[in-house]
Amino acid sequence: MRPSITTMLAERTSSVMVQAALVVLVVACSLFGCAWRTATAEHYFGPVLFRVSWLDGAAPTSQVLAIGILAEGGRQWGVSLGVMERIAVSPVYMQGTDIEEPQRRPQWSALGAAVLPAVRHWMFSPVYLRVEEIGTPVLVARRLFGAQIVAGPEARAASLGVVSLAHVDVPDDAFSQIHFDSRAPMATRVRVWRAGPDHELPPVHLFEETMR
Amino acid sequence: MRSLNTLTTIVLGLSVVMLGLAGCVGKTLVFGTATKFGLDASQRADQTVEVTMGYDRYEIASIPAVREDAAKADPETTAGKDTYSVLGIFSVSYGNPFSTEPLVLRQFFATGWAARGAALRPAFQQFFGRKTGEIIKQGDAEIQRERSAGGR
Repeated sequence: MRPSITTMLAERTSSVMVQAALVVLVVACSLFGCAWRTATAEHYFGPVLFRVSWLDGAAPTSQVLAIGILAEGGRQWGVSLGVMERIAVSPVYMQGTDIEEPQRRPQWSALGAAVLPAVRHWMFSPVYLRVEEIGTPVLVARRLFGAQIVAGPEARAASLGVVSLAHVDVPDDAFSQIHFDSRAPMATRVRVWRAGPDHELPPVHLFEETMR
Repeated sequence: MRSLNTLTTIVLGLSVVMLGLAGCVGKTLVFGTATKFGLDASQRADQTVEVTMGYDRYEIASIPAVREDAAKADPETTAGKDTYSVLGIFSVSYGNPFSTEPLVLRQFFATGWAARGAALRPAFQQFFGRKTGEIIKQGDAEIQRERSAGGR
């Protein structure tokens, strides 16, 4: 017995709806991400662009760009819609003109990334990215084009539009030299000289370049 | 009203905060500037919630502060601790967020023992004195530019 035209139409409509639902689901998944931040690492689920840097005496820096909906949890809570960028810079500890100890590089791992990231080069992580921070970041720069509700030590706000936030947590008992340029965030300089009653002060000429 | 192009300014601040801030116990010193574009409701430490329509931009430097009252602190338990002394130079340069004008931050902070040590060193005294002069000159030049732009 041949199916009636009505049955065939119903089946085709059903099939189209399933396909449309799948497309919507795939698009929704590709636009939805989640960031979870612990004291030592950042975990990103979903598609993000990222790059890291730690060479040439520059401060260990990570930059992550998410497009779509990004939920945040852990140290910082929130939901963002639009384009969200976060740059975190950890300090380089100095002793006089030298680096205090061999510079550690940020550890990262990306699931689903096509190739391993080169320093300062943008990479795409489609599924999962983990960036291990070297100590608490001294400088966190966040930029948003869209809408967001966030709460935490980095920001506490409900915003719609363009938001640019640069937050510096100055270390205690130390000299801190910070130079950040949004055109070249990977070349950010955050240098810290520890100080105490028995510490020798660094030469002042090291800080002359700060305000040039 | 200043146009976005003239928003490209350099804000320089120099602050010297030495001992005796017992009245500020438990608070955080914050250096910052802000501009807004859009709708924003936000709250920062020790502030009430603010709602703003405009381009929203913050550059903030939080200075650590020990929660103990410096005037009542036990010298034995707080020996080697000093978080009330701060020497700082804070520079922010920014422009139209929709253009290629960059955000540039230049900061130098000496906190705690570093500030105390630097304040006693002639080289650091001259450094901060010179920078203070440059800040005043730059501020005067900025005011002159604004006046001449406003007079057109």
